[in-house]
Amino acid sequence: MTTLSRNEQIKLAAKKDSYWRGVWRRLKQNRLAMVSLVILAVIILACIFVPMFSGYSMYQTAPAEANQAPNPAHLLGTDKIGRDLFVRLFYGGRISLGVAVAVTALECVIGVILGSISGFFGGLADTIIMRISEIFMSFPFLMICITLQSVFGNSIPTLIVILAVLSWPSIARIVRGQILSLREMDYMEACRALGISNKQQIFKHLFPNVLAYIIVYVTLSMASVILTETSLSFLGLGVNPPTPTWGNLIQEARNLLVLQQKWWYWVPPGTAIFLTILCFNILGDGLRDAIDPKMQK
Amino acid sequence: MKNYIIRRLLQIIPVFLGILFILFFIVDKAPGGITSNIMDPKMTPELKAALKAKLDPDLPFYVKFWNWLVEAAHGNFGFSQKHYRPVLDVIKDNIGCTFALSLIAMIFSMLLGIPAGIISATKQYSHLDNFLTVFSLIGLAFPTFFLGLLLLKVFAVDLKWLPSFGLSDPKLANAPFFTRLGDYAYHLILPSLVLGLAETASFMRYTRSSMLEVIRSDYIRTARAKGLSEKVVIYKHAFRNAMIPIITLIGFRIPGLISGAVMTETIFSLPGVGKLAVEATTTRNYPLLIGINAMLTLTTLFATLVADLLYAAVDPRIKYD
Amino acid sequence: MNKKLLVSALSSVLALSALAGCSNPTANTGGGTEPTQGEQTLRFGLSGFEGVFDPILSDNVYDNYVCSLIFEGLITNDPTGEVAMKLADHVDLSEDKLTYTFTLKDGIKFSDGTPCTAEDVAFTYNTIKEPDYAGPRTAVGAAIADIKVIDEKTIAFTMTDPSPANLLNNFTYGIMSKDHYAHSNFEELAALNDKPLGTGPVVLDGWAAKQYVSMVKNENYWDAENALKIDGVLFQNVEEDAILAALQNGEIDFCQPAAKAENVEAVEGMDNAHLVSYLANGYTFMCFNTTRPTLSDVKVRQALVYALDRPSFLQAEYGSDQLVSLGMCPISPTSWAYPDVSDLNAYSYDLEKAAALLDEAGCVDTDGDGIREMNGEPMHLRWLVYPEATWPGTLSGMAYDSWKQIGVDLEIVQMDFNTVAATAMDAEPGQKDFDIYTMGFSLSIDPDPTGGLFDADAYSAGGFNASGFRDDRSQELIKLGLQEFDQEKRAEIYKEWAARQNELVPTLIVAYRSEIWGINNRVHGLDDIGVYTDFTQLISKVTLD
Repeated sequence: MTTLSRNEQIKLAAKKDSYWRGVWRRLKQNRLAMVSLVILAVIILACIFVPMFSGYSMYQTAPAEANQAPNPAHLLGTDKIGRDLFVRLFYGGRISLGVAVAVTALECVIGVILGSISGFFGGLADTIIMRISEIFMSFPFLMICITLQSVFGNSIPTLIVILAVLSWPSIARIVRGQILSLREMDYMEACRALGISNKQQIFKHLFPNVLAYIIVYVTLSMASVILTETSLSFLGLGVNPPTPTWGNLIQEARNLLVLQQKWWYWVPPGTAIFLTILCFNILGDGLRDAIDPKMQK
Repeated sequence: MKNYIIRRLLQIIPVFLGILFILFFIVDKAPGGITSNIMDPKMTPELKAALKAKLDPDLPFYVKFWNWLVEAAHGNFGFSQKHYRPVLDVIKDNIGCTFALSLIAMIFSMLLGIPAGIISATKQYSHLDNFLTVFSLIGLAFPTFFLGLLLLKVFAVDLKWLPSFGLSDPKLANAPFFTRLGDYAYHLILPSLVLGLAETASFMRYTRSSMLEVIRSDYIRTARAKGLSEKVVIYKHAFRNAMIPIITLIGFRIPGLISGAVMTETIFSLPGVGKLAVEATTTRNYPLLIGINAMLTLTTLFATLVADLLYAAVDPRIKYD
Repeated sequence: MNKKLLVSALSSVLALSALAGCSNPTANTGGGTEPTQGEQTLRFGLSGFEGVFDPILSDNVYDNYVCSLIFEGLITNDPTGEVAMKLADHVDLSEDKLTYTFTLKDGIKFSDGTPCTAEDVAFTYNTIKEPDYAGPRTAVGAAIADIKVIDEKTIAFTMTDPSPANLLNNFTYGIMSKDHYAHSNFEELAALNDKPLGTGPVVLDGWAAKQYVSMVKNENYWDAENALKIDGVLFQNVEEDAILAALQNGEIDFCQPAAKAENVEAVEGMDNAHLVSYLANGYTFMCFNTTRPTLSDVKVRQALVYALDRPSFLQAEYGSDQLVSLGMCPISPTSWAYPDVSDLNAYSYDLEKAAALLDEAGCVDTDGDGIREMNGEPMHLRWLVYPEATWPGTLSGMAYDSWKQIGVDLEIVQMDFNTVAATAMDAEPGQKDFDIYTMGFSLSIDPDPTGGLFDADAYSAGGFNASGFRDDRSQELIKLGLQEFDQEKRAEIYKEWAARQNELVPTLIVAYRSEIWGINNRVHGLDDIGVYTDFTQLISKVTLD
């Protein structure tokens, strides 16, 4: 048995992760995507650390200090029962981002498994899974939300499960579509001809190719869950008060006077939502370009 | 292909029935009923129960489901208990606005999104590409209601250029057809802008990636090699092929637009099915709720089918058998 | 198969189906005739009329306004809440307090010119009593035992039970034309919902679902003195979020925004409009589930109330200068039965007193986790709020913080209004799954509490008392109140009853509700709007610049 020379080892390692390195290299070229990545990192870190070091808690009321515009004691002012909006903004971010991560993770698990089965095995399994996904896509979202929330109690975990269960069909369809077109490609034909097992085909060959699309979907899904959360808050189906979320905080803008005069109620959460969604979307687009080398010049 | 279409059409039936069945089940499990929000102490529990028995008899959900199917087969889609009118009539009052709003928003987003996508693709990574990407994504980054309120404040309150609510001016109800049409358009500018902005980003992104893919394909390279001008290459050859997947996008977007119009309809006080569905849910007006959802479900299923067929027709890599 | 052909065929189907939806934009007008509106039209901005313009079927505050304008009842109420005559010239009550005999005024005509007689009155009430009638006036039908037409202008109603509240509860509803509303079943009656015919000062001109209701002056109005001075009234559907913008723009003449500090400030800041506000006949409340072992103890309930800084809450939600009043007892300050405030406990914010009361009740923190326990059960309370109004969120948000300081853990659960109502009221006794819920009620003019929040007999599935609290003296007082027809003596009974509820707090009255209106300065005659005077009663006085 011969040991590989150091040079060969490096080559092999480089070959192994050259795909992801290439992706990263291409992503780095996309300045817009990199700026978005940095902004997102700052927002996420702030949401984690600001509440830890703030002198206020998100529930602490102080009627005597209500409705203050931003000042040194309250950096982003206070709401009408005197809660500090600075700490609530970042705590709200924790919850909004946390919900988005959890929903995305859960829907990807469900969607990828069902999408892979559907795309790889085809036939009856495909038909059944696709029909089920159509049923889920056509559900009356609101009615389901009200019913499930009242049956299981309106809590953050319930909200996460509801959103994930109602949104897995998109990723399932993406995965299925990718597998369908990959299956038709020459190297998969070769796999089949060589008698490589289904399991190996899925995990060694199909999955890495599909992973790129899942990563793109994840960034876009983060953005859409944050938006969905604000919509649900608008309809009163979001996270229970007094827990702050960006969706709950921005509802204040619904009053004309607040919109015209009390800018500190809605500008910070509005900016946070805007920046986060914008950055996730740009990053998602950038990743899509970086992952699909066909898109390169 | 023919067999595929027939099979897909047949598959719509079990999916539609499945959704309706689950819907009846959920409605049955939902707390509260048509009489829950009667807040009149003179309505004793007995009187309330008697009224409920007349408006919404207590039957197992599968019986209600069956009865609904039988009635629907005869063209009767139920009676809206809040309006004391047939469900179909109530939906008819609201559907026109939603369709008009969605259509205008769709056209608006295509007119903005597709050219932006083409320019963006031909000048990938340029400043113009970055600018267009960010600009189109702005529409996606605002919560709809927030964007709606901001535009309402700017264009209706501060500038007073556009009306802040409604679909038409009652004063013009007797006016000639084109005056009224103009009035509708005037009222729908802001709402369709709000609804369309989010869609613009979708169209732009899809067009951009579709264009990029086509531009790098062999036949475009051949076209270039033949010495055709860049304009002819892009707009004559690439564009036509890149548009094919975009057409399928329309099919996928229609149902989402209709149900996504809820916020826009609420902010701009428009009569629409999205808001009607919310009201039917919060007042537990189940016949209306089932009626709207049956309609939306059918629209979704047919739009998905059409989109799938278009996709199958244009993408030779996918085999349908 | 020719793919190109398929593509173009499917694309055109898509385009056609989209076009079909809007080819005829007039398709979304709800029905009725074409409206004709001029400058002398009073425009009311509101959200949520349903288009049920029938006085015995309408179940929505705005549909009711339309009905009050188009129809007139036998009686109405004056600005102090006392009975006033409308179509009736006078009414006599029999010795046994059961039979009311109404005599109609002379010359009453429907808007189509036909006379309105006792037959029409009998028809209206008989329709409610029809077996297949499925509308919100069921309770009126049940309260009336017998209807007898004596002559063309006289009609006698015999009630099921005697009650001083019978007149105002049952005889204010609009009288409908017997000929116009002739029907053989309920569907036929319902089909006339948007073709109203009454005796009122306006007639329906046209309407479009969720857009507008247009009404014009009734040229045949029988009461020349009270005829309309303007051309008509237009209801325009404007959602809550945009209503103040529409008022500021002058797109509507008046509206009733939610009573809260921001809206008061916004209307007061407008150049073209002014604010009218008054204390309304109603309250917001907070109901304790007294079947819970902890909340069954009056000291625990009192402690929770002491630990609630309600003055700060009122300040935050409603602002300081406006008419808003700390809730004391289940009778509104606008009523003749309101007790002397000095007899009542205001439960001023006092955390120490709250803690002491909890200690007395045996509710102490035994395991040192900061949460008190009572009989081994931690003080963990589940409070149901609904998002349709903002105040439950504000109040519970303050309680969350201040109750934590006395060792009470609060869980706030947001559900839609109907779910809260179903959980608290519709559920069977013993299965009412809440510790606290909050809501707001409007009250009828008569203060009789029978069947309401504080009536122990209304603790049932579908009843309004979800607290499950029973106090024998209170029940006795409710019954006495209905047997006494002298208003002063009745007031004494209700004052004692109200003071008991204030002390025992099975349900806390959080605040007495205010109502605010934003009115354009071009409108004159609407400023007298008040607790017992809705704008439809002022319509004949309104003039416009």
